[in-house]
Amino acid sequence: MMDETKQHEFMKAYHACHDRFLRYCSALAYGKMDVQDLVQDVLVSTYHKFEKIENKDQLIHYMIKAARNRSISLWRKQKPIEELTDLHANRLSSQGVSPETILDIQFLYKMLDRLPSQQRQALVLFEISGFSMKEIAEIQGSNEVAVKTKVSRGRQKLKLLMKERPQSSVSEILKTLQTITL
Amino acid sequence: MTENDTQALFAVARKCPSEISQTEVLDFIQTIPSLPLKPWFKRFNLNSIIMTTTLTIAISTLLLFSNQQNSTSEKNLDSRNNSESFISVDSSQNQTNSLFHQNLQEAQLDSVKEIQGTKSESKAQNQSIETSKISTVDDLNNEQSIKPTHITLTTVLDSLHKLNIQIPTLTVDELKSTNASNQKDQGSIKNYNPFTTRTLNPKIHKRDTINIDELPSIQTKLLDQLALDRYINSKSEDITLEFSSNGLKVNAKRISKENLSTYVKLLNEHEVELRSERKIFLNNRFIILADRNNGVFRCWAFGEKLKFTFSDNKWESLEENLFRDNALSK
Repeated sequence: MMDETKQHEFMKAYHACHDRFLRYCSALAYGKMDVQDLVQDVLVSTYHKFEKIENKDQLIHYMIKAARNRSISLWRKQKPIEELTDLHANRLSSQGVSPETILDIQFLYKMLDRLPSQQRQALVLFEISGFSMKEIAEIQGSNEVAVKTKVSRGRQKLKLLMKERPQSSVSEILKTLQTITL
Repeated sequence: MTENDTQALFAVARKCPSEISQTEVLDFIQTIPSLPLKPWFKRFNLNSIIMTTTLTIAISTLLLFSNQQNSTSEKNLDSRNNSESFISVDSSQNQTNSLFHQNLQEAQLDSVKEIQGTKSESKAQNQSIETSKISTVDDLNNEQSIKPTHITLTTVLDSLHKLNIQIPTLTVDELKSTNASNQKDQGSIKNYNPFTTRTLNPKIHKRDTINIDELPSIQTKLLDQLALDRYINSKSEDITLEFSSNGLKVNAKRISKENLSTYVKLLNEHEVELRSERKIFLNNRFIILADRNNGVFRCWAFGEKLKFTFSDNKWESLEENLFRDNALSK
């Protein structure tokens, strides 16, 4: 009975977080880990500590932090794994996303992966997951001004990185297209 | 690629459906309670082990080296203290010797006067004193005319005892015993140095007991004198008096040579001698005279009840405990 109540409350609290949390995890895990594994790990640990989270509205903050900590402890300087990028493309394709969009997203994730950790997190949370500056400041344990700076610098650096590599190589595109079509 | 392009990419990523649908995640959540709990030992991974080990090694190394440094500095301090004790005792003796000799000269005069008086009353007294060779009292003022070889030390000490004159650091009885052990000292008073035995063996402290009844008087006099000499701003201050090779220090401030004799005299009046391993802690509420011998403290106190504990055998520890507010139980 206790478990059912807890489960119900957890699912209710998670419901509001799903989209933002998944987008963040996708960007974070891209090419390094199966996003499903990451999400499951975070969900299990969050579920077991659910009673300890005082403010249930901030469940998303806890989950983002947990995902980030997990990424730090697991991947570090790991290079992208091709199988995982293929898996990512397949999953998006099964959700009805067009191949062009998948290419764009993958390109974006690759570029984001080259940013400094804090800047990347701030940028992903703000631009992709749609968190406000205040929320990001709470997650990162800093202030809004610092977050604004990180986001701004992240954008500039991303722009520079994209100029350096204006287009994905033909072989990469072909490979992605092959994965999707097969 | 322009800024608009990056924004467009972000917009695509934002609008794109998530890799895993909400239904899938919610289904998974339902299975969580049935999942077996992670065994406790699986919480230890290589990362945590490395971090913990590194931290432990770093802390223990730090502690080890800090302890080594402390013990080395303590050793240096001890060796310095030992050498200081020789120097300090000598320098204190120089101070007290001059005072003692002043007193002794006066005492000699008085004792000879008394001896003469006694002789006139009863000529059969004091065979050891050849008073016949001492012509007049006036001649005694002339140092050349003093013929101390004819006056034994015992006699002078007896006379001093009778006159109730206190010798600065050693009591009359102690001097007697010293003299008794060395009968050859019967001779020149000028050659007799009451500090000789202590100078040769500074670790032996003849006087190890303090008269507690005198502590209030010492407290008052010291406070008055220190305030007068402006070594303290107010009498309520916490004061530490310590003796070093450089002289007497009040709260680590050295007492000038001009004032030093005043303090030496003041303390000697109460038969408190100064040593390198002795400190006096006082304020207007209490006075504590503390001795440290082979790392063990011995204290004489007057005033408020004190509760203090020693975590180690350092002066700093004692001082901190004494002057800390919660050490006092009013």
